[in-house]
Formats: sequence, C-alpha cells, structure tokens
Amino acid sequence: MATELTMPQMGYDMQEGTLVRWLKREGAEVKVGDAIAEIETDKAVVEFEASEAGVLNKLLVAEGTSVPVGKPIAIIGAPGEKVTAPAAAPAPAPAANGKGAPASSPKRPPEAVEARQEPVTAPAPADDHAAAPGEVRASPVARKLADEMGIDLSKIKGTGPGGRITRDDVMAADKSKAAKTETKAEPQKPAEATARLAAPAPAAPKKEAPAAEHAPAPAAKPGEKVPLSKMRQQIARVTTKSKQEIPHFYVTAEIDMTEAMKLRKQINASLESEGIKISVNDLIIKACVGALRKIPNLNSSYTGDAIQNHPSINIGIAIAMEDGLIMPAIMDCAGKTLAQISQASKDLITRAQKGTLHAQEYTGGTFSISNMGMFEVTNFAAIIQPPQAGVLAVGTVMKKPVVRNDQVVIAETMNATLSVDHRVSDGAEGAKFIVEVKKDLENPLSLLV
Amino acid sequence: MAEIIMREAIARGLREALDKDERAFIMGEDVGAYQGAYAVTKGFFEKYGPERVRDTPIAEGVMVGAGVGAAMAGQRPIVEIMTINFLLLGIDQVVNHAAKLRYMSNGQLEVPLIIRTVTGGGAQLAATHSQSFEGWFASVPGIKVAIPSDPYDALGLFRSALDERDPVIFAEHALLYGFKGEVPDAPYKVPFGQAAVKREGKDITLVAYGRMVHVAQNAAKLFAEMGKQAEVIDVRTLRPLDLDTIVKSVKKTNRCIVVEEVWETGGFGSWIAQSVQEAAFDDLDGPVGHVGGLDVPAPYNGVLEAAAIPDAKRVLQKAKELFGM
Repeated sequence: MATELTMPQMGYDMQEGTLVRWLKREGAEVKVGDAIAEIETDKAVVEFEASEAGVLNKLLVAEGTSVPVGKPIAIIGAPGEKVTAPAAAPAPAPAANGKGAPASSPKRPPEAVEARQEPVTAPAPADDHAAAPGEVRASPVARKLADEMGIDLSKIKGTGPGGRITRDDVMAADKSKAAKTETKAEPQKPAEATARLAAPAPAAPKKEAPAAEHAPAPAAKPGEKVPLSKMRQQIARVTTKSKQEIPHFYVTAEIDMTEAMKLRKQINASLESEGIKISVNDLIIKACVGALRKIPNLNSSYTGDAIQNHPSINIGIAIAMEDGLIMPAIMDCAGKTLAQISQASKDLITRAQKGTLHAQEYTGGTFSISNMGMFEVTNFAAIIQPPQAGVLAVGTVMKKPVVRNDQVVIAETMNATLSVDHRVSDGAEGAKFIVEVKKDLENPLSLLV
Repeated sequence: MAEIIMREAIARGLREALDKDERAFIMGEDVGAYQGAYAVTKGFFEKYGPERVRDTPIAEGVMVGAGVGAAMAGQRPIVEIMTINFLLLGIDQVVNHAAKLRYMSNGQLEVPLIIRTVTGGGAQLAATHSQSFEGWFASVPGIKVAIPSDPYDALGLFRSALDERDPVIFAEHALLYGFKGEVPDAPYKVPFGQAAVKREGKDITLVAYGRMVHVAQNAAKLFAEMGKQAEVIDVRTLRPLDLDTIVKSVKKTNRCIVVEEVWETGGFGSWIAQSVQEAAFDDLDGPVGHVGGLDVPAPYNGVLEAAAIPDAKRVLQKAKELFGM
C-alpha cells in the first residue's frame, strides 16, 4: 500500500522547505533511513530519510520547489505497485533547473480545489486572485462542507448567482452521492512517520519570501539596507516569539572552575592517545544533565494547560554559524558518559557546519546551553528556545581573586546565568538548579561517576 | 401580563425612575405643561411638578450640556430631545463631553445621563425631521445606544438604562409609539448588549433594530411563503453590540442580511455586516448583505418617502441577488 512522504517540520516554526535535490530516482528501491532527498530549511540543507521501505513510486515535486510543511512530496509503495490514489500534490512550480515536475495524475485530483486555496510559495504568478481556467466558484460554506463530506466541487453545478456553488448544491450532491453504490478509494493519509517530527503545531503555511531571498546577504556597506537572510528571519521570529510569550526570569551564580579545569587537563592528558578531548562545555553539559535529573521540572515544556515533562534529556547547544546561529540538541544525554557527550557534541558541531543534521536534532532539544566562553565575556542572559523551559548562559573561565577560608587566593571562575520560563518554574527551583550545576562543577569528580 | 403600547411602556419606565429616585428629573421641550410632543409625559407635570418635569427653551446644546452637568453633580437627568434630528445641535455635548468625561477624569467623574429621543422616518415630516442618527452616536466610544422595537424591550431596556453609570442615547422610533405588545407586571430588565432572536429560522439571518425589526419580520413571512425560514435578530443595543448572537445565527443559516433605516452609505449596519463577515467567513454562502435607506434626503411625498425606506420586498430582492434565494 502506498504511503505519502510529506515535507517534515525540521525546526521550530519551520513553515516550508525547498526540495533541493532528489537523491533517488522514481522506481528506486529504498530502505528505512535511506536518504532520498536534500531539503533546504530556514537553517541548512538536510537529508530527508525514507520512513518506509519500498519503491519510490512517484516524486511529486520538482527540484528547487518550495513546499509547505505537511504537504506530500513523494509516494512510496510496494515494489511494482501502481499509484492509484492521486495525491494532493502542490502544483509544481517552475524549477530552477528547468526540469518540470512529474505529472501527478492526468485527471484533476479531488483535492485540487483545496490545493488551489493554498498557493504554493515558490516563484508564482504575482496575482493569485486571477481566476484560473475552469476555476470552481463556490461559497465559503460550500467549500467547507464539500471538504468535510469529501465531495469534488468541480463536479457540481452551481445554482447561485454567477454559477456559484452554494450550500444547498453541496447538500444535494451529497444526497445523490450517498445514493450511488460505488465508492471511491479514500485518499491516502500523510505518512505517520512524520508525526514524530511534529514540534508545536506550526501556524498555517504563510506566504514566504521569493526564492531570491535564499541568496546569502551581501556584506553591508555603511548606510545600506541589507535584506534579511532566511536564517535571520527565523531567528527574528523565534526570539521575538520567545521574549513576547515566555516570561523569563534569571538566576546567576559564580562557579569556581579551578578543580574542573584541573580535572579536564588530567583527563585530556590520559585520553590523548584515544583522540578524545573534553571541552569545558562538555563538563557544563554533563553538570546540567545531572541537575536536570534531580530537577526534572526544568526538562519540560509549557503547553498552555499543562506542563509536559520530557522522557529524555536532550541538551541543545548554541552553535554560531556564518550568518546566524542554530541550537541543535544532543539526544538522550541522561545515559551518556562524559566521553560520549564530548563525542556527540563534536559530531553535532561538525554536522551542523556541513548541514547534515537530522530533523529530530533541530526540534528535539529539551534544555539548552549557550556558551560565550571563547569571547571573554563575563555575563550574559540567553533567550529561551521555545518550547523549552530553560537555557543556561555561561561566560568565560577567568582567573580572579576569591576568598577561600578567609584567605584571598587566585581561582578560575565562571559566571552562569539560567533563564527560566516562569510559567513552568519559580525562582527557588531555578536557584536549586544552578546550585546543583555549581556543586557538580566545583566537585568535578562527581561528573565522572 | 397586559398588552400595552410602547408609549405607555416608556411612560411607565419614566414614572418608575421618578418614584424610585428623587435625584431623577426630566427636562426637555414641551415635556411639562404641553405633556410631551409625543404624549409620553402625559400627566407627569401635575404629578411631579415643574422642578422634576422641566420645560426648557429650544436650545438642545444647552439642554444636553445642563444634563451632563447635572449628571456630574450627582443628579439623574433624563433629557428628552424631541427628535434625533435636533440632537445634532447637542452633538458636541454628547461626543466631546458626555462620552469622554469618565475617561478624561481618570474615572473620577461619571455621567449617568439618559437622552431620550425620537428617531426614524415614515411620518411625512420631510427631510430634516425623518432621519436616523442612532448609529452615528453608537460609533462613539463612551456612549451606549439602545433602540427598542416593542413595548417589552422598551421598558426592559429603559430599566437597564437607569442602572447605567454612563451616558445612554435611548432612541424611540416615531412610528412605534402605538405598537402594542405584552409586558409582564412582574419586574424584569432587558440587559444592554444582548440581542434577541425574535424569530427562529435556518435559511437566512436578518439582523435589524428599531422599526426595521418589523420589516425583517414581514420579510420572514414572505420567505415562509417561499418555503424558506428566516431568523430575525433584534440587536436592541447598538453599543454594546452583541455580535455573538448574530454570528451564532449566521453559522446556522449561512446567510445574512443587515437591515436598517438610515442611508445605506456608511450606516451602522455596514459595520455589523463587516463584523459578521470577519467572524463567520467560512460559514457564509454569499456576501453579507446590507439593506439601508436610499441615499436621498427624506422626501416629503408619502409615496416617495416609503420608497426610500427599506421594506420586506427589498430584503427579498437582496437575498435573491446575493444568494439566489
């Protein structure tokens, strides 16, 4: 049985993606996990993997086409299976490489009317109000009813003014349809597999900027106005939403990193032969994981009517890119050793720069860390990445006189500021969390057990 | 439960106001010795005396201004403006003063002023005496506007107006004073901001206020002859406007026509129509219709005047144009 593969949501707030390149041809056999296409999101180009095994029956969109999240892009079926149910493919847009989209079906599919209501966002004729030849004129309620009843409006004759299909026409068509014995095959449901990617429900796909804006922004000259890159737009959207909707509060602590720095040196010296190098950030990740295990409430999301606690701890790390920043997550940190976290973190950074992150890594973070240690800053506060409940901002580790046993001594210290969603948690819990992190980092052996 | 006419329902409300609260008083042209231009205050002068039923000179700006001042000073003035056409002379007092004093004094002042006035055409009183301006006032934040269509609502709305702490324009349609309807003896109120479904139906929603409620009822009867059921909604207060009741109805019937007497251009009904269109777009079977008076000064000639005011046939014609009904 054929399954539709749909445009996945590969980032919080992602509304559409561009199918850059098909990696498999029509008719190719694929296994679960095989990369079948490259998809460009707001952030990067990522590989799209098959969620079902079978034969790629149809590629529904041309390379270079922008497709709203959730719309079908390909049909996968059993070997040799014929595609019977025409899929609601978005109208193919002119492809950048001049290659047309594979024709989906010679007959007008039942959902064609629906598809027309949501124009594809790729370069399209400017006036989308212009009536297409053979356009169906139907009142809003007629469209709604037809949609609910699964009636093809193009097959109904409208009796309203100007031939408009009215409520009564649809009701009458429904009666005559019910009278007929033959039933049509139900259209295929979108692949279940994409459900796992469903981050907070995206807003209805909006009209997006034309493809020209995918081009990297030119370097700004003084006084010049530079159009926003896709990534900049995305960052603007998410951070604005976060600051407007999430009541942030902040808790700061100074952490004595002297012991942690010593330990790190020892570990790195002993593991040098194995090629493992623990970074300060890895220690902080490990400390955060420990603190989140003790205070699971901060590993959660505010859902409007409840607090959703997450089953696994996935630590997002802020990675600065050429024209912005992304926050992919190291999945399932609770069971990972310091060395494993270190490796996972390195792998994530490498793949982020290559643009081969998995969709889940974009959306699956449950708590984040933003480290500006390399910039010699002492303090900063980070903006929470929705729908997470917290983010820890850490500054540079630097030598400083501190008082220990009433003596002024030199220590290596670091400031950490926790931003918390006040809808989920309160100051005391935030303080408890940061004290846990501090305790672990100041007694770093605990990070090894 | 007794059947009374609307004039009597309003007079009952006024008597209750004067009996219940000694701060309440009536002022207006001919309200006293002449017993009211529309005979609403018949017998009041003898019973309550010239202090509480005050005749005023022909100076609407002064009358409304004095009402605003009295209300600010703690009285409960009920100012009768002989027709809403004359209220144009007091419009500055209404719009710039009565409506804004609470806001501009940071809530320290309130203006519990009721302006009773007569609206509408149809009595061959010609261009300057036949207009319907209640919608103009309803477009001003700070003002509440009630416009009853039957004796029950007239008394119920007037009782609610007496409870208001803000200025109320109480618009009575000239042709409805003799309209009969049942009014319970037991106390009741008709709250502001609650539209009434005056007739139930499933095929089209007719929204109206004042005398046009009766036009809508007549249209509903004609629809019934065609086998269609029209739902008639009386908005009762233009501000606050009960959009919920209207939208709920439109979601059921999928069609809506707003009927009002004022000129079609810029009528308050256009605002209602636009609001319905926004709130119920996906449930509409055609554009929200608006039927208003013709864009001409009210003719004196009776036949021409009748032609300028919406009637049931025009409502049907509009339904045919928009919905093919």
